[in-house]
Amino acid sequence: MNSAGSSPVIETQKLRKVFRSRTKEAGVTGSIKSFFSRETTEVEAVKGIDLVVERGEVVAFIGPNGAGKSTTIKMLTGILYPSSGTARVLGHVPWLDREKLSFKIGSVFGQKSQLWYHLPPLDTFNLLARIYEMDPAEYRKNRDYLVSLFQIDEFLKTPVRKLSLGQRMRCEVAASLLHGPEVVFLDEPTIGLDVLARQNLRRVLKQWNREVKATVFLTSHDVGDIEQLADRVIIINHGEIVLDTTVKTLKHRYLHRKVIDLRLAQEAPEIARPGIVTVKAKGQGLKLEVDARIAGIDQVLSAVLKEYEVLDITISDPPLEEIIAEIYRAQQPDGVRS
Amino acid sequence: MTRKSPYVAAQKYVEMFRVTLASQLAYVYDVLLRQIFLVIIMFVFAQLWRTTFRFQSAGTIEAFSFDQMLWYLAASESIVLALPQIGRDIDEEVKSGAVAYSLNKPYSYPLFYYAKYLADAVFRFALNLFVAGMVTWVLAGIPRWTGTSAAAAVFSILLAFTVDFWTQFSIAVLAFWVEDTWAFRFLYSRVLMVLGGVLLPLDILPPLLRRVSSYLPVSQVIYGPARTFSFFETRGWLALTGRQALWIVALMLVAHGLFRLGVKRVSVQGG
Repeated sequence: MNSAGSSPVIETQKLRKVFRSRTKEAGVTGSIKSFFSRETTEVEAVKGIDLVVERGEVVAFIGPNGAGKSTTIKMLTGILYPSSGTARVLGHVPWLDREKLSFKIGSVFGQKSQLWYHLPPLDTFNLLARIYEMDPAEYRKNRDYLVSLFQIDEFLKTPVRKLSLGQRMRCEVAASLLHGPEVVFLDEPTIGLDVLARQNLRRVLKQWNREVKATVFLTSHDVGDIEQLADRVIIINHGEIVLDTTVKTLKHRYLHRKVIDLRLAQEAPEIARPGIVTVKAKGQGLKLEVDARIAGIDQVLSAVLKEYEVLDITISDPPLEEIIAEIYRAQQPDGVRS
Repeated sequence: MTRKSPYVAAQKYVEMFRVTLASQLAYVYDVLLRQIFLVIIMFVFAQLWRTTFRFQSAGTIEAFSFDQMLWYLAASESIVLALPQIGRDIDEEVKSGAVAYSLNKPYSYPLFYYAKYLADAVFRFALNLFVAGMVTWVLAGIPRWTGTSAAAAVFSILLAFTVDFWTQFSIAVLAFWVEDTWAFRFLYSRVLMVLGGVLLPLDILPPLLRRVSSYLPVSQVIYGPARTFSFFETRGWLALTGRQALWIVALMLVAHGLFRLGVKRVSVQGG
């Protein structure tokens, strides 16, 4: 399969991408002016990043909107030419060897579809088998395995337009894995999915990775995706890598805070205990931020349930933007990266 | 996995052709509704040309008899209404960023679109010709076809689709440079309409205009094959095939050149 041996599966050096776009003043005058003088602005989407990903790693590549995640993925899959720097994926320079590389990689862009909208997923699978020049026996084996793993058998022959988003995404991901890629790029695979569909997709992806041992490069806004799927996390912001660490370390250092939303049967009280901050107490609604290192979630919950009648409860992670802000704060004094 | 034999590689385009045909069948009611327009337009043409021929003592106009004229129009309308708007699709794909999915697959992007285009065009043309042919049969009688003329016409029509595809593709890839290719696509469709021979055979145009338009790719798309369809002559057909082949080669070179340059400029920002 891969001739690269034990060398890194993905390696970049000073990879940089600058987008140029035209600017125009607002209104009709601005439009007329733009005929005579065209101004362009440059946006440095990726600012010379260095990356090394080893075979079999599941790397979460995360960051807020506009951080440079998708641009990096598009350079690594050969769709975008970088402005400078180098990259190698499975020994290939992606933008020069795009076709050769495409046999070995799979990609899911959560906001785009590769399934034929008016046809059943099976038609797209058959087409992909031809595109990737698969042997019929190999295709049937891979397809049957993925159909069973992703539990898509019952709607394999239903036109895609009639599928729910969760069903469609399972088919999208299965379609991307059909040719047995060595590296899979998952760009926001759970975007737009409800909680149940998201959990289901994560579970299946995790099982697939355990069985196939492929390298996964995942981007997501969802902290849950990272916690449940990845071993390593790389955080990118404003085109720069701000953190490259294990998920275990990230959890310990930055994901120890949980947000508990409660709806009580009575007026919500202010709770002030070590490790617990009342973010909001209004009417029956109570929002607590809990530092799990100081106050265990189970202890907080049992204490609340003992003292109050609880009508509804939700536990969530703080938004990714807050975590990144916290990482920045943590790095400010000495400027050293983790 | 690496590339296997050319036969296996070619299968992906055949499969694309097949999948596109299957997708067309999902739209079959839309396609059938479009036929109403074709029936109306053929009827109007028949009335117009019947009146025009009534004033011609010779019974022919530039060697076209009434029935040949109507069969010419049945073919020209069937072709023009069958041309898929692939330029619009590619333009949208580039603008929306969906091109990211299409580009990271092991196939030739232009050839993949060609297979898709051909399946669309062949399906629509077959249906159009069936409907237009039925109307023309009722209004003008049976066509003067032979096995040779029918085979030559089919061959010309396939080459005509190929000329149109590479023209549209060349225009569409300009989306890598300009924000919207609509103006170019609009211009091409109008030139196709006026100088392509959609509404009347180019034989009726003034000599200079006829000469100029006969060398343009638009007349290889409509006029050439439609004339072969209603008025077959071996010499004319061979000249047409030569011109079509030259235009295909030239347009393919332009399209591939533009595509190679354009791909380097792909600017797919964000998710």
